[in-house]
Amino acid sequence: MLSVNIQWQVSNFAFSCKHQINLQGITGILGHSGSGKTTLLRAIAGLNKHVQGQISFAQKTLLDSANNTFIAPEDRNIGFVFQDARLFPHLNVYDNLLFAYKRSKNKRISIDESIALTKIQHLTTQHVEQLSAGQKQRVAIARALLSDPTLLLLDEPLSALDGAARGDMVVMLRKIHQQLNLPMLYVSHSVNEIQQLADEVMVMAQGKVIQTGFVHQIINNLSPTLVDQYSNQTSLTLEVVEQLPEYGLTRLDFPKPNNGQITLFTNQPCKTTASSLRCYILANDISLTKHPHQDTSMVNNLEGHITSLEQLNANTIQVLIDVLGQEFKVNITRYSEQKLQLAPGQPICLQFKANAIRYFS
Amino acid sequence: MNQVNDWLALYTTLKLAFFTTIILLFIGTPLAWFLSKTRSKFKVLLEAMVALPLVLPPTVLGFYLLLAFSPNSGVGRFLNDVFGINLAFSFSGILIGSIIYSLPFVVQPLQKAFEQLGDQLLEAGAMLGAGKRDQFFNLVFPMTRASFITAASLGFAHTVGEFGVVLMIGGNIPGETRVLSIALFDQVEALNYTAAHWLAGSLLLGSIVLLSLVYLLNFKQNRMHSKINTSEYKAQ
Repeated sequence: MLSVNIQWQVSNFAFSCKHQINLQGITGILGHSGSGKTTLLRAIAGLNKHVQGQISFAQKTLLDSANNTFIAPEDRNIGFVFQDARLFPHLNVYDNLLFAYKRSKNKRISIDESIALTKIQHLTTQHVEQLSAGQKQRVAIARALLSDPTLLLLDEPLSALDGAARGDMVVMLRKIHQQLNLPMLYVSHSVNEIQQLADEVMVMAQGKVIQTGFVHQIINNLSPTLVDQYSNQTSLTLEVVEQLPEYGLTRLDFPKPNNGQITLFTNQPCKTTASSLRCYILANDISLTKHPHQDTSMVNNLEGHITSLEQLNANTIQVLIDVLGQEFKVNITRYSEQKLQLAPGQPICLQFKANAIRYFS
Repeated sequence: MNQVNDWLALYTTLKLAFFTTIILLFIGTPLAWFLSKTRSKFKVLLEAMVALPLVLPPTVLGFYLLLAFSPNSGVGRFLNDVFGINLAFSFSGILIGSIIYSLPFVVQPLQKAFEQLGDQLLEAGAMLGAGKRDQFFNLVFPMTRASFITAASLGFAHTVGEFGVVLMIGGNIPGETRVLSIALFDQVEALNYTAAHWLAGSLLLGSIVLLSLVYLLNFKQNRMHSKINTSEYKAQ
């Protein structure tokens, strides 16, 4: 349990945060730059000495400014992965790892284990300046793990990476979290990263926490300022029913359908051992019809009811549809809305292709 | 006779430069660190004080030091009464003069290096469990090693080239305060141009060699810094 009650005021930025963070699983902190995400992380780490208030972690007081208690960052046993990796340029990769290992108190994880977890076997003798952005961040994560922290803070660790490398890293972080059972606080402005990694999510804006809750609930109710067309999505966890290797498809099901059978298909590769997948479906990837179609190439067909219609911008309408208790977001043009004459309460059919169900694998 | 005196002057010069450099590294490092980190408004004043010897005629500094060291002054009397030392016309006196006179040559390169290094890598060190002292010896020092060598070389070379301060407070006592630059002056006054050539030539050559080494190191360090800065550490 991490308990935070802090304030910080600098010229035109007022930061305050009063929150209990459970630290079960990965906790995501989502917000624009300047929303105070990094300030919160640096206060927890002890890197911002001007913050006033109290911070305690696992029954240990880290900060209590009323009683002049301030535990130095090096004595907090908290790991930090910075946005800019911050590898030591005078040491090679292995010596960067050794720097952390030598100073670790419990040494519960060995250098070889950290190298295997982050898949940097081929890099150990390299100079840090020769590494790509993604490789640097892998080394930074391995180094942070070697200090054997009780809590790992990650500050936009993937922001310098391109799409493919980002997906790999998300999968790697998920695996590290499962294997080491290490609590993580993950800061990002990317809805997709948070959607794929976090269990609990805090949303920050203008120096304050404005929303907290379970990941799907938060992402499906994000304030419009945080959402762009790529992150306007339906976020949900689906159970794997069976793999259909002859078609390259995976059959999925809702974990808690109220009643009845819902079958969805995805064509993204999925591990044979996976029992459930955290997926997202972009609002732009779903189309609507008033009557069910049997003769369509779309493999995913659902029936539900319109709960609300909202104008997103001049020519886009967002339709919220309830399918057996699961809410879907669908964006359509104003033209289609008028043509179909949609209204709340109407039955409606959703259609989307197999590749509309996305996840990082 | 003269030649023995010249060897003695060389010995005194090297001894003076050596001790000045060592003491300056001990004083200058924390001072440069403080200047690179402080946001106090007195920083500017302190920087100006450190830089003063760069612009002040050495004789001005020498004059005030001579007054301070004199047994008639408060400082001089105190030193004489309590410790029984007389700094005027002594090796210790010119050592103190040299330390003040060469201070900016040691402090400024270190301050610049510490500023360039920034806090980011030290924060990373702290998050891996490295305390302040650990950070200094295992991160700051190895990453700014070239600047330490530059600072020491410049402090050393500048002390070797000193004339005015030593002349004012040290006089010209062989084996005690007579340094090479003063020996050269004596030889020219006595019209011993051969000996003067030897002294002047060796000072010139020694300085060229030392400064070339300094600039070579700077060149290498700048290349490393530009690599650091262009990659990512400048962010934030």
